[in-house]
Amino acid sequence: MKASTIRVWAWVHKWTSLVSTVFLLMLCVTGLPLIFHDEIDGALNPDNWRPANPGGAFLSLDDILKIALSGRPGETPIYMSFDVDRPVVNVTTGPRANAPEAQMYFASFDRTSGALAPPADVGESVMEFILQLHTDMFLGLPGMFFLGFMGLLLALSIISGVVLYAPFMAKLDFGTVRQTKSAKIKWLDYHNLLGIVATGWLLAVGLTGVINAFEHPIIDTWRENELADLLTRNQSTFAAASTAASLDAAVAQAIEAAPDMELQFVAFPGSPYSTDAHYAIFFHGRTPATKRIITPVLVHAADGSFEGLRTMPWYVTALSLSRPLHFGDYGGLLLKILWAALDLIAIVILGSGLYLWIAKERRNEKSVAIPAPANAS
Amino acid sequence: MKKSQRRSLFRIFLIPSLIFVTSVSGLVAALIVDGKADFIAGLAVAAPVLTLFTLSIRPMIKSRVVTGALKRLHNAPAEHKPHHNPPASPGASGDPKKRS
Repeated sequence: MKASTIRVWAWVHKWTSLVSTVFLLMLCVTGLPLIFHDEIDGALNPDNWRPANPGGAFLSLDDILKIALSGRPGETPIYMSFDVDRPVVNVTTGPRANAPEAQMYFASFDRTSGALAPPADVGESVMEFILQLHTDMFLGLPGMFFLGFMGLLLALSIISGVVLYAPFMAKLDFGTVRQTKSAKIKWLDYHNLLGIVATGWLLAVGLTGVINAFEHPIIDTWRENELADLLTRNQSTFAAASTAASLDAAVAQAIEAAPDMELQFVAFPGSPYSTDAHYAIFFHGRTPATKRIITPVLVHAADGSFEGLRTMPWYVTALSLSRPLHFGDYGGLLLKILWAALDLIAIVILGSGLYLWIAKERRNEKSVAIPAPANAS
Repeated sequence: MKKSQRRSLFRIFLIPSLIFVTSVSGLVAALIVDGKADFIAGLAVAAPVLTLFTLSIRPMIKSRVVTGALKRLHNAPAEHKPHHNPPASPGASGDPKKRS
């Protein structure tokens, strides 16, 4: 490789790293507890709630809905969702189906008795704080885009680092750390070694972080195009449902249309995720890869007949897959521990990179401060 | 540490490429598989960590191997002791322990 080419790549590596290091350090530090969010949430807020009739028969969804509405007279159901690890149904109601979020009321019900249950996310404020800091630094969409840009810089920094690895290692064995040399050389070797072995993981986490940063625009695009298309196509066919059919029957119809999938939530007629005439019933897959990919099924609210199913477009699938690949919470405790170890390695890479830059700057300052020897001639 | 002549790109990137492919395959496999296969995928993801662990214990293994070899050499019967280096002076022997 030509010296001029190396200088260009070194410039790219230096500036992409320097600009993003502080933010990447913040992301690594906040990402560490997020890897174990389930365990931390469980430890900080032990779920002592038990169903009234453990192992007992479940009330029908229509019964739960009736109970929920009896506690909120005059209100309309908007969403119904289902807890994954406990027999609890969550019902969101409001003055009307398209009420703004501020006017919505959320309540959880024991499916074995219909009694109120504490929401699953109660007391998770610590992890929510860390998640928001990690996601957008409390700056909303601009914060997400900014951190997405930092992710792009990380990817560039990794690629330039891999290119620079070749000239550095041209005369050294893989894994060499020159312990007897100066601290700077020793840390340069550590930086190169840790960086090159963690390249795959760093690139995966960095690029999926960039995709995650575009979560809101991606979901909005899906809602405005794919979902709106499915909804308007069916909206034009049917008038608003005057009397709702049995919710259980509608869900049963949807389950028939989407076998091998897990029920996630129901959007009631008139809500933002449905039409005026349909129950929009959302499912997700059962494998780690499909767990976060949702599939909507429309069922007519009047007669419970199947209206349509729409699989997710590629960009929502990419987003759905990038979430677990970013947080490492999809392969059990072993993967979480590895994620934490690799996260710590990333912190050492960032720290050593910063140290090497500071050491180089100091050396440059010293060489400028020391006057050149006077020319004898 | 061993310095040698300039290496080809293939030699420089051979082990890093293997680690890259293994760990990325593990990341993807862990998404697809479930149950016991998750453990195998996890091991593939662990390739960088296992490499670093191997590199960190290599000097210890090397020193143990060398120490063990030296001990065996020292304890070996006189007739089996190798004499690669001829005695430098009368009375000196090839026994490394006796060399200063």
